[in-house]
Amino acid sequence: MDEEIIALFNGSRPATTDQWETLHIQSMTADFGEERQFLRNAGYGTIFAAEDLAKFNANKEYPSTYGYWDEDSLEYLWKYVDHTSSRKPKNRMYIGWMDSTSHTPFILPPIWKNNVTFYHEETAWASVNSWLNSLRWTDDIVKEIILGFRERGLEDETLFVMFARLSETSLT
Amino acid sequence: MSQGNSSLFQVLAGYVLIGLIATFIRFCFQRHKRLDKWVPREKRRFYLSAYHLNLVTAILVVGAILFLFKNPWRTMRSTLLFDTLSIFNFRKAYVPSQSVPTAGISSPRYSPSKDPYYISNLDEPVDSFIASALKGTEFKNIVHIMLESMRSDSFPWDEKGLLHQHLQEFMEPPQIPLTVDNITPFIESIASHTLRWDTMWSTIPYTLKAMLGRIFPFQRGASDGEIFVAWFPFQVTSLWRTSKQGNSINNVYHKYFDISVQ
Repeated sequence: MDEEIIALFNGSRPATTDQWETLHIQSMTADFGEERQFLRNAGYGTIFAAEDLAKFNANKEYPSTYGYWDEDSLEYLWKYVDHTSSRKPKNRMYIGWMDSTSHTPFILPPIWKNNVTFYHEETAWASVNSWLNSLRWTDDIVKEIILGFRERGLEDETLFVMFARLSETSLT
Repeated sequence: MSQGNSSLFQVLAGYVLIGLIATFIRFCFQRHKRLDKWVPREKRRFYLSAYHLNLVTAILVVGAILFLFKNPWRTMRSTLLFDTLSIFNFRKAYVPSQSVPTAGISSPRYSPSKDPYYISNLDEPVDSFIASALKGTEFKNIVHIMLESMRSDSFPWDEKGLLHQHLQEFMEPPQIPLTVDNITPFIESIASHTLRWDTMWSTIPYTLKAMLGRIFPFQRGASDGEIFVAWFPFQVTSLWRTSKQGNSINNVYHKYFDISVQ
């Protein structure tokens, strides 16, 4: 099956023209559940997570529940994309980016100012308000990623695959 | 302990006592060399290790079942075996387990093909719909965007979905209408240019292991589900090379991100 998949992605391009460069990037810690080693086993050559962000961040304490704010990893995603896509020869990128803001307790990054009030914070529905705003945040961050590739002229040659997992449901 | 009572010391004392008994029995076996009768001399070293680990495990489990206090520990017996075996997981960490869904996943010896939670479709042809949708396209790059804990009926917001119905029925009216335009306008705006599967299922309800489905496929061994095993020799050589490089982390940052650690 893998040969068929490769052929589909290659289109008319010879299969051996380019090499794949692989990255998994997230602002969360990769130490939980030995995620870093798992991703390495799964074939990701470069893994960039909260432990790596800490090396470049003056604030060594994680500001978010699971690590740094999700926006913090985007800066390094674009560094990777710009650096890799400008390299000669130009290799293919296989990138995974993962968020944590859409996970409970839905704490929104302070840099994001697009939240609205569906339910007042003083009511019993404050947590629902946070969750609904985390959906708005997710919409914005997905937009930022896709438009980021568009600005770099990479959108038409990039396949975006969205995954989610919650209980029995998933989406693509 | 979880209920705020004072049984922690008693439970701890019980565990220590059982551990001392197990240790005493072990020394007795070693002192009288009784294992000589059971184990061939050339294999004794291996069996000594495995035998005593299993013995201690059994004693801990049986002892805990028999002597644990009712509250709160008896209610936690369902995880007792896992907790006890976890102590020795350096020996068995690579073994996939139905009771421990995430066990061994980071081990180089882990194999998805032997994992009861992993259902592979790699032996099947590419779905005809996907194949037809991708025919003639030339994607150079692939980007996975993983959304933590996101339901399919909330992204994009489904105004006919169960979540929406539940909020409308059981909650007070919101200050702003719960519409797709107010919650997920961007993803809705590109929905007509996307493919969507509502029949996809996660391999497992755990985030980490669910990511098995996004293994980088263009590697030797991926087709037979043995990618982890096939990669083990590579990992060893990779670790060896890394250990020979000075400041190797800096090399990675510089190569891929054009940045350096100060």
